[in-house]
Amino acid sequence: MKFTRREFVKANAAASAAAVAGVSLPATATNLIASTDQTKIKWDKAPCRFCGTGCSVMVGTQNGKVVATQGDPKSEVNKGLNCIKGYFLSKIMYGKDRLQTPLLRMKDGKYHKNGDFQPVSWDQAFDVMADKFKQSIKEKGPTSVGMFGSGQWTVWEGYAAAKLMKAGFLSNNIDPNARHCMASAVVGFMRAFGIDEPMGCYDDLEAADTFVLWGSNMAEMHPILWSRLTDRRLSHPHVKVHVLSTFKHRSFELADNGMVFTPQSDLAILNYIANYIVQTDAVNWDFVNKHTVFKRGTTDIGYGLRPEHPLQKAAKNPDSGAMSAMTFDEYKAFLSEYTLEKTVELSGVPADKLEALAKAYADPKQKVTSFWTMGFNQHTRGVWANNSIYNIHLLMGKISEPGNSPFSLTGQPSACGTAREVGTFAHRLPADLVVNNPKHRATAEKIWKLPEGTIPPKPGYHAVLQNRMLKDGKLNAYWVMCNNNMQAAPNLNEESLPGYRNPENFIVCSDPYPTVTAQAADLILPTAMWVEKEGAYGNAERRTQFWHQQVSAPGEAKSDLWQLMEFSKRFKVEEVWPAELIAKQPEVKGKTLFDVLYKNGNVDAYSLDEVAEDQLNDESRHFGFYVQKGLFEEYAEFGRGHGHDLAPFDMYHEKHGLRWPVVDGKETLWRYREGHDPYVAKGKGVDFYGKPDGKAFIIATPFEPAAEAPDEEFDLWLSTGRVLEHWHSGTMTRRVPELYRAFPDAVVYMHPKDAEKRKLRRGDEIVVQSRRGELKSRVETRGRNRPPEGLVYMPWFDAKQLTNKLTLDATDPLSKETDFKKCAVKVMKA
Amino acid sequence: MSSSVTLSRRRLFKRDSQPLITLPWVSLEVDFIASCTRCEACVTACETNIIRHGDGGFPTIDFSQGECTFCQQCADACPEPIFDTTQTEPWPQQKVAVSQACLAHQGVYCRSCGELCEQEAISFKPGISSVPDINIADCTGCGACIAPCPTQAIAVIQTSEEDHV
Repeated sequence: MKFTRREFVKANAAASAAAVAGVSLPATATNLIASTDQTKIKWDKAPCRFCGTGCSVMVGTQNGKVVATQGDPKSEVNKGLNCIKGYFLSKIMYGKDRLQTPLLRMKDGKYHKNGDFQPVSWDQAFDVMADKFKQSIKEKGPTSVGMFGSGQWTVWEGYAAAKLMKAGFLSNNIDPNARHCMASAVVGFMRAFGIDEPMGCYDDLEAADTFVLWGSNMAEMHPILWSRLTDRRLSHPHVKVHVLSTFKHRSFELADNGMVFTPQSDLAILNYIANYIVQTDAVNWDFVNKHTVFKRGTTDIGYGLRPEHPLQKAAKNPDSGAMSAMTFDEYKAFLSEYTLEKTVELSGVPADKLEALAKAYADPKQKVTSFWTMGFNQHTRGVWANNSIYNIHLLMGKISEPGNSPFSLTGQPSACGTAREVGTFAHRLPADLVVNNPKHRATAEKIWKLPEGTIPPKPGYHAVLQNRMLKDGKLNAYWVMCNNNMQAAPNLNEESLPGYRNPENFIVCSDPYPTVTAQAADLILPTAMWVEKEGAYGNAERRTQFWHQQVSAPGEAKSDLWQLMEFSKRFKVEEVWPAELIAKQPEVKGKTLFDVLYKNGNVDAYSLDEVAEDQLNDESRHFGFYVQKGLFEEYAEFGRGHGHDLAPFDMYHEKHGLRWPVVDGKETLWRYREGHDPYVAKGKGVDFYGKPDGKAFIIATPFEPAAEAPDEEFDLWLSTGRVLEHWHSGTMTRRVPELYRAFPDAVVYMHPKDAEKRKLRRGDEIVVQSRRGELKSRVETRGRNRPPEGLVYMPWFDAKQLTNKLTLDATDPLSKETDFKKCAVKVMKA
Repeated sequence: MSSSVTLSRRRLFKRDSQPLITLPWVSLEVDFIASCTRCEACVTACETNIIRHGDGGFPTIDFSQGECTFCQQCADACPEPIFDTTQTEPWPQQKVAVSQACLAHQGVYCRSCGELCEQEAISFKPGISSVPDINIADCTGCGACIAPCPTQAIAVIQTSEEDHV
């Protein structure tokens, strides 16, 4: 791009004027600023706000506003690249309807469930909110309060929230939206390896000979990683790409072997590949004998529906994750039914394509990296699918080394760093500890300096169960933070909205914007976002990345961290803890939860002197100590020396992210492998040290059908998901004019023949109906997604077309993650 | 000819010199400026509201508001002998082109324009920068790719040089 000096000056003036006025200019004008060092713009790094890739961007601020962003050339993740969302990050905070003051439903000057939203002060907001929480705890006990959090929380926000709920309110009813996203991956990891998160890292992209995408449209959902994969494929002609999905999408453009399979039959394909490896005796015996054991998974486990649902009643072993030992010969016999013929019949994929895929895995000379995301995870047998892919990699020993990598890609920017590592799930504690293990609880109570018995042993309500319990009136005071669960959760009409509007319940929603969830709540708290606070995210390759606060939030908006800690000041220990618990540690008497949880000598250990004078840090200055550092260092104690080592706090502000375990300042690229992982002793070669005997589980589980499949009346599969241009429910990206224009409204992608059968033309308005609800949309027979006959695909970002009115709240019984990819609908002309 | 406006000459004195985007199926044999009475019939008739008042009150196309569906209602509505719908192409002298402002040149993965092309005339070179490649033979000039471009890097250009200043 060449500019004359005159054009340059004009563009600069226009861009800063536009940013201040909140006007959108063509992006070339903003980027012009990004490419010069002659202006007064201050630059600092931050991870992107959106997906789990964890790209780093350089953020340009001027006059208290973010005016530009550009890909961080020093980032090992994105190497200066950006996707279209990342490019427009500078605009996500400046939507016209940004919330700037708390809003409470009121009638006659008082809170009223059916009142209208009116602005109130933070004091008034917290008064009403604390009343409701106290009343609930007093009348119905701690299990009547709960929280729905986020894989988009910063590390310390998630940590402060988990602590407040589990150790403050003594309720395990805290779950993140990562339950909708990564829960099946987590359970898969725990079952196979005893420790969460991928063993490999993004460097596998430059080392593999074969890539296999299972239920992952990387081209749209992880475009930067896709660019790296594409580069590898095009610059190394021997590299092959296999893509599996239930419909054709952009990733098929690069596929050497593209396969569209019948929904749910991925389970059969996975077992067919394992069977092929066993039948052709391609098994890496040395590896299998040394490092694995065979297990048989319990079958017929139901669909995670309400217990009275007929499908749930019909299941022999509902929700059972039990495993029993089995021999290799038994495993071989189990696999034998998954022949090529049977798999072709179940999946609809031609035999030669399946065989080509099986051969790639079975060839000891090819390094294979498998990627998967929501196609596997949002699956009523998602844990089984995750484990079945590990089976294949373990049988071949293709794991934990450059290029040989079963790699679970993450959806959210800190699903790993916050939701999983911090353990903001109903059953978890930090660093893979769980609430139902007394030793784990003791560890947490010791670090937190709390009496024995503080943390309740029973796992709390998971995401889908929270909505059911709200509806049933068992969960009554509820805080939704950093997510848009009314739009995101399944079966909106029957299971989400009734609970929020249940007169017994008080619902609080913290968000920067008036989302669908906020509008269904009773109290809305305006929230500071992204670089309006100091933060940390952990991406899919175990990389922890920090950023500084770079601008202040507008109006009265406050960060989630401020809200959590400030709210804790409203509770005296006596109001929420039973007398027996207080008696075990009498010095807590008369103190607030803030004193007990955050002014405990750990969290307040670092003084404000450590925050540079010209460095924005609203929370630390408010509370009087370096809160982020204190929370992080206390949290890091859980994992250090236990395979989850995080580096010292300050190091992360200097580096462009580090992959844990970070031991002696050195990150770990491939876990479980000698030479790469400091936890593997010399001479061991490979050690799956998450398991007591160092051996990973190969777990046999069969094909079982989906919870709901098309029939005569509801004759189409519905698969839901994202598009490149919008992040999740679109609350940020739909407020960026350029992104809105690029993909303004959701559409229903349909096969032209299916459209013709219904006398529909491209662009026609349609009604989509399931057994649970209906919506209006428009039909699209072209473009990026090409479903086969019998399946439609619809993105869920559009608040005007709430896709989750259609979906079924069937979950994986083990991970409790919803299957957003399979339910039955019909489509007709509107 | 002396009575008609020569738009290219007029633009010479204007800072913002956009080339005129003519309406579809305007006959190559007709002097548009001399024949158009600026009656607005085509503006009213356009089903996607992309025909607007342009320079001198003459109708022009504004693709930032939408795309041409080739419904021919502008041609049907016109009382003057300006349009010739028997021409094989609606815009023999106009095509779409992508400028250097395209984000792909800066390592940004976007692809918004390709999505809207009904003819699938826009393809992308795979790799780090997915630069759009327009197959001019397939491009109908409908303009659907123009509005979604976040950097306004796509524009209609004249394939003939006659109207250039």
